[in-house]
Amino acid sequence: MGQLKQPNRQAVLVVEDEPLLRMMAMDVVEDAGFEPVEARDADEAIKILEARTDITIVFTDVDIPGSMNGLKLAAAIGDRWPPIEIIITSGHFRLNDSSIPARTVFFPKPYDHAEIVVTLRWMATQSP
Amino acid sequence: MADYVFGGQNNSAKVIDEFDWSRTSLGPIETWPISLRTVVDMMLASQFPQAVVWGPELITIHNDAFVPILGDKASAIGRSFRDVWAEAWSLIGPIAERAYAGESTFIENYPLLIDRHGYEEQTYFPFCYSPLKGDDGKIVGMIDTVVETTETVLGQQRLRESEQRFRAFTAATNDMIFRMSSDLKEMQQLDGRRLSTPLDQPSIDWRNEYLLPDDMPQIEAVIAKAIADKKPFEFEHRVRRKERTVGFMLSRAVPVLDGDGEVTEWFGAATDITDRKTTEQLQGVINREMSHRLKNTLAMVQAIAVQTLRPVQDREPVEALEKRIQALSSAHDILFDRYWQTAPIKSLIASTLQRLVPSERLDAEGPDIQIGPKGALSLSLVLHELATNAVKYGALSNDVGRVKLSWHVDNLGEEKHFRFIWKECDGPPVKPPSQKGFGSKLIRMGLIGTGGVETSYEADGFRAEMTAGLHQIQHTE
Repeated sequence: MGQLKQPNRQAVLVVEDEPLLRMMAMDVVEDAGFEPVEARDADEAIKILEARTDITIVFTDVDIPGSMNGLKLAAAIGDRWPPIEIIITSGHFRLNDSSIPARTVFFPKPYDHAEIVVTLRWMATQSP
Repeated sequence: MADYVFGGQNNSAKVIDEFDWSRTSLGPIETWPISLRTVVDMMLASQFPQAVVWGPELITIHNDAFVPILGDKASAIGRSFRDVWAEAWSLIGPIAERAYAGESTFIENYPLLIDRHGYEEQTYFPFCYSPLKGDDGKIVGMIDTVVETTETVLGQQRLRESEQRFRAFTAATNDMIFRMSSDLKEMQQLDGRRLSTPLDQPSIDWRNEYLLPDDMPQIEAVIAKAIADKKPFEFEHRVRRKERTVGFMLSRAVPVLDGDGEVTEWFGAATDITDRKTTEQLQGVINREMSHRLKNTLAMVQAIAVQTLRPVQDREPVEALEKRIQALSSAHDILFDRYWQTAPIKSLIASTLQRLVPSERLDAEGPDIQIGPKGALSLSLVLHELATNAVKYGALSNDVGRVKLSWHVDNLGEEKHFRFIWKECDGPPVKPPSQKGFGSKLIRMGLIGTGGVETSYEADGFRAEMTAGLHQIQHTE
């Protein structure tokens, strides 16, 4: 809970339209020691990614409003910003492996905070 | 006794020879005109049923072949033909009169209602009444040559009625009825309800007209197997419909075999199941949406709980709460697969334990029975608590311990019982917990929330045995 006031903290972009779930996801990101950045939909997420260079991980829901859902957003990020790691979550029962873009990790909702924290930290070590 | 005039060549000849003809208008047999004797002689030799009717009183003389036509009637020899067939005389009398007037009559399958076995019966006779002349050349009688075709005519009638019933059946059914060649390539006849497919008449190329190219390999495999097995088959498949839409059919076909057991043709019926399929698809969509919302709601409950409990210093109960919510959610994942009716126990166990128990340290053995929604949620929560305890204090708290799960169905009297055993081994020594928390309570609730749980802290590891009536854990409401 204690905020880690580290300089040059890596930033994690949380994309979630449901405010309560977004708030919780922001807390998880912060608990893991990252700077949380929020977006309500894919279009907003793309704008933020275009404006900031410190985001190394995107943590997105599948069902988000706007021109892309979370899976398409993940694919678009994979194309434009290949180094960025992606975590996808959804209330939909188990996505097929084929529908999950490469280099992304899927967690069904409701997810385990501890697992997300572990995954975020592991991903941070992968980023250049 | 005089020599037999007709030589006793058969039974009727004897009856005729021995009959006292002097009591009739024909007079003693020795006095009969040559013409009468000749015709009786010919008649007695014939294998066709025949009766000679002579004189104004229509005295009857018949042969052996005629006897079955009389049935149980008394012998007609020497009696008036009019009396013998009194019940039908209004019909045959005029025909006899015509014969006496010199006109021969042949009628095919003449229907007559006669009484020869003590009841009226419908009979059919092709017969001919032809005039007979006396020695002086004048007509004095007739000969009746008759064959009974009652059985044939009734058989044909029954066949026609059966065909009519079959027609009515094919007209009344909602199914499309068809007849196919032995190789199932050619549709030779099409009856019953015409469905809105381009295939509305028999076709030598029904597969291409009716089916979708993508489905062809699968359907051809079904057909090839049916032909090889020579057995009825049924399958669901898509069909082309008019206006370029696609429908669903359930098709069944039954082979017709010849004497050598080879298929001569196939009879089949196809039912339109498009509505059912559409409903099923819609139900699938609703089911997915419900599942999605339910899981989102559980995620929000989790978010509210975690946010609310943020100031709490002791994180352990907060994490326990989170994980219990997840256990509940994973049981819903499995139930979702079967529209919240049942969950296969093996999937339920795997899904609940996958995050807690490494698969190489878990042995699970038992029949893959179906559990109802209530039972599935209880079992899921209980398994979650057992596994959590094993990770914290039991066999999964070291590197070598294992968990053995076994379950079976017992027949105890009339009722079937489900018995589920969780057994830990190779773990550290265990002792009962000093205080009973919510987790212990959950475990004690057992499979259906009403107990039936025995726990023991055995030397080699913790053991829990849970029982419940099979119908209780399979109950779907």
